[in-house]
Amino acid sequence: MFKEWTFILACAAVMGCNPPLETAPQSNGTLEPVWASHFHWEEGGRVLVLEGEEDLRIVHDAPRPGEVHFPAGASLATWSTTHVSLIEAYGGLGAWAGGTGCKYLQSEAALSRIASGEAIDYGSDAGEVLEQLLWHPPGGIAIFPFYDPFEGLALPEGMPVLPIQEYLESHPLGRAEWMRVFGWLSGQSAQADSAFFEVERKYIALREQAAQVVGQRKRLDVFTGSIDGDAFWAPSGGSFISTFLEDAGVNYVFSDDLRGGSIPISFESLLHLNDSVDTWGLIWRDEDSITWKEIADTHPIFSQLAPKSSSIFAANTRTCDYFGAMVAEPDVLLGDLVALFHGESEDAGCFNWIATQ
Amino acid sequence: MSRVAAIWGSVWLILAALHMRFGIVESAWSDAFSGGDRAELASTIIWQLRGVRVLLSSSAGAGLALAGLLLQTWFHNPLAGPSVLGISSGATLGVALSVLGGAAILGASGVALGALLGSGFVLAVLWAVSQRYGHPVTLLVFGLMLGYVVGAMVTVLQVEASQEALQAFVFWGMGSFSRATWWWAVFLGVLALGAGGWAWAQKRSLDAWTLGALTASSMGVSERQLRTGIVIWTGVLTAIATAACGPIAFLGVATPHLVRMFQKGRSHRAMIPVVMIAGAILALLADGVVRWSGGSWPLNAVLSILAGPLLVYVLLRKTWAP
Repeated sequence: MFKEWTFILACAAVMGCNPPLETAPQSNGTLEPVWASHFHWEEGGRVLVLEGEEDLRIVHDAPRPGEVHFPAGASLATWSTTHVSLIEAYGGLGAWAGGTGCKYLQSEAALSRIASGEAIDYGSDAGEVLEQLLWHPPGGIAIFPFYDPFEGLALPEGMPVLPIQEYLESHPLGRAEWMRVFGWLSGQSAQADSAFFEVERKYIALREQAAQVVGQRKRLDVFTGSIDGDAFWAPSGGSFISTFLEDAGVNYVFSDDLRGGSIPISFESLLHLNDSVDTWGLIWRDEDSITWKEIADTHPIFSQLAPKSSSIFAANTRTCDYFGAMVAEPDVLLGDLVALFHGESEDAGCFNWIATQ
Repeated sequence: MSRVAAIWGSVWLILAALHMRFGIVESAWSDAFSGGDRAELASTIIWQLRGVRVLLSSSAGAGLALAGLLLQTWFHNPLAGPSVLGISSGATLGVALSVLGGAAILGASGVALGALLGSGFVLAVLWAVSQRYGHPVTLLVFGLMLGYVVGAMVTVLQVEASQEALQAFVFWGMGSFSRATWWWAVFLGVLALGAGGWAWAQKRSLDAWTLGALTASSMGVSERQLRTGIVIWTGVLTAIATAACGPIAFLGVATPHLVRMFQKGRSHRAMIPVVMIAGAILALLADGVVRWSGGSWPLNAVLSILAGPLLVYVLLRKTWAP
């Protein structure tokens, strides 16, 4: 009996060291995320598993063989500005050591921390980033996993490199759910879970609102993509943007094409397609406000693509943190799209209508 | 050593010292010699990071410049350079295949391995062709055609690539000395010195070759031996430099012209050491600009901006003479 109670108390102590996770564990102690599919927890939340070609098993307490130690709350440097937004979403910038590519950073809170010296701009050049990492060593660094920028280079001993695969998630809430990973790493799971589930609640409410507004009406037929070489490339069905558009109550014309990646569309097919849809959209960058003339001037095919609705929708990445805050706050972006497509706002936050006449 | 080579060498020394002295961690230099708490770490930054980068960029610059000089001599063509034989394109194909087929598994090692295998394959084909069809023009056209075919294959692979793989491939294609490691730097340095030694031993044959194949032959130069040596050494230098740093534009073509602008002596005895040092200087200068920009300006863009106008100037002035 004494042994059993000792075991239970020991388990409780171990669990107590790890922050609470809101997802109910399975019988084997595995905790799956709700929307994301490239990480999970094991042993009731003791081990965070970042999935990849080789899974990385991270623990806060004493590591066993095959596990990487990352103390809860240790400072974390980031290789992507998207990571910064995911950290900021639950108020975790206190444990953010700094990052690379900070010239692309749009978060005022993060920029303010750099300006005050509380976080470091690690630069962009791999050699100089390494120099800074040696001089100002964080507890770990979060990177894109598709290529290790530090492979072959000597990082400070014991500094874990954490592959963050949020960009592989196809659902907007899946990408946002990676804030729970950062929250767990910084010992702020409760805050991160709370922030994420609030985002989830708002997103689902907006999706339902959009479905109700559309009702039995015919949905707008839309497409989006970009020109590269001799083709227009549209995201396939089930992708991040396809899900956004469908959830905003419009019909993304390639939603049934589930081949993955981007779909090449010849310019002839594009003209034919343009005749059958209501409108189309772009992600664009412009130092001022986007105009149709500027878009049409960039490629001859655009001048032939004015839709029958006489307007397209576009997000200006200079004013809209499309690759940062919008990843962490998909509810805000969905709200913009719902307002845009269903007539509640002429001037939505991220996406706007661009008149083609 | 000639006075000219000594001057070039001094410039290289000054540039190398500046690279070691200045960096993003401003206090590293003073801390390294202060004997304080962080002296060891500061020494690591200066020698293991900045020093190895100086060695890699200098080795790559010297090796590619020498390759350019040898190829311009062999082809009697001022625009010949390490890329004309298609070896860089072969490396690019190898990397494209590697990135599509398994960079996620092999990472940077897979990229380097792909570059080595691709350039090695093209080098083997070139060597075989050079043994069968030895005329410089045939080899030049063959190399160019090979480059086009390989370039087309790379384009097709790019179209099929995922966004992530394409991004990794594009970054590699920009060229960089920032991923310097001792292994690559020393290996490339030894190769460049080896190639320099071989070229130095062949300096009279190379001088004779500039007078034409018939004259060279009448002076006892073995065309086959010279051709094989040039193809192998330039090929290996280009392959290893590309594997270590990505495809490096213009260095090989431009450096011999840069040297010809400053010195009258055209003999290979005068040219070989100076061209190698000048290549190292140009590489350090370009890398200095890249570092000054915070790493945001691609090395190849900087090199092209530095060396492109120079090449045009040389061609307009018609100062080229082997």
